[in-house]
Amino acid sequence: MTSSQTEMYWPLAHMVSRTEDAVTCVECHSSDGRLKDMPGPKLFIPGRDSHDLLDTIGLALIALTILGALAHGVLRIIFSGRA
Amino acid sequence: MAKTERVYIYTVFERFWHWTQAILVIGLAWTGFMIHFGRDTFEANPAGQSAYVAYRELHQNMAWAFVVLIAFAIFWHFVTGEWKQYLPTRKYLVGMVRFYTVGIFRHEPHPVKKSQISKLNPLQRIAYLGLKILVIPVLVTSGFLYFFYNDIATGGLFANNAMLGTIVAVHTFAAYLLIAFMFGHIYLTTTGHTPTSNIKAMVTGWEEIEVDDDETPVDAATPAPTAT
Repeated sequence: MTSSQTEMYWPLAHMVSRTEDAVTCVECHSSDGRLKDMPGPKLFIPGRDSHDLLDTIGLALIALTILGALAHGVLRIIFSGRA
Repeated sequence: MAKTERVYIYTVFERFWHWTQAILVIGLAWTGFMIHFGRDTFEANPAGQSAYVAYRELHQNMAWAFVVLIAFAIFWHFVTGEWKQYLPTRKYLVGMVRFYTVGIFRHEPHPVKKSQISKLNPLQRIAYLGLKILVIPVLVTSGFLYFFYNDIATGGLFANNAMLGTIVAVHTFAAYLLIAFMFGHIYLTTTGHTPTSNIKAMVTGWEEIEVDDDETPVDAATPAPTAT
């Protein structure tokens, strides 16, 4: 028994789009991109997926550092007049 | 006004290293956050590229420059023996915490005298050592894993693409830590003899330091200033 003989036709451009139709990074790497409905969490696409809790904690950490520094600085200025 | 003296603290290499690192960390943070938060706002231009591509390339080039700088810095620290500056010590640790929480408001003298032999107070030693052996290695390693992710994944090291999410999370979290450190670091430069004396020292190498008979260098091996 042998495999059946098949023939295949390819478009001349090998299915590569023209420049103006080319797919750019952000067409998939964005929250509303072509792959927005592909299920996670086994697929992580930068730009589509993010860690919201991590961002909240990280930004809070930076904000608290700045606020702490400002508060400390203001106290130093207030106390600088006293001996 | 307390008596001061000018002391040469930072060598040419340290100053070059410090400011190059500062520029690279700020540049990496900026491009990193543009990539992290700005991606949805990027529109593709007619050439089919978006600003995202430019930010990514800038981030990667600066990352390579940072790796080269780190290699030089590690070499310098071991050749000069300056790595010993970062050995943690409990001596004056409580004193430093007290200084920042109480003493600085009462115009008490700084508990640790800075010298070329001992440049860092105990809190600086802990903070900088933590950066050098934990935060920056984690950032660089996770950055490499991110950069070479496709090659590594093709090699079959990761079971599935979820690993990329973990690498991104680790890289991002370490970046938040480094940026938070940077703001605290910049503020603490104002706590020297004058608000700008620390920054001036990192530019010129020479620092204006208060002289006080009670002050002792943090390093026990350093001779204490003799009382007159």
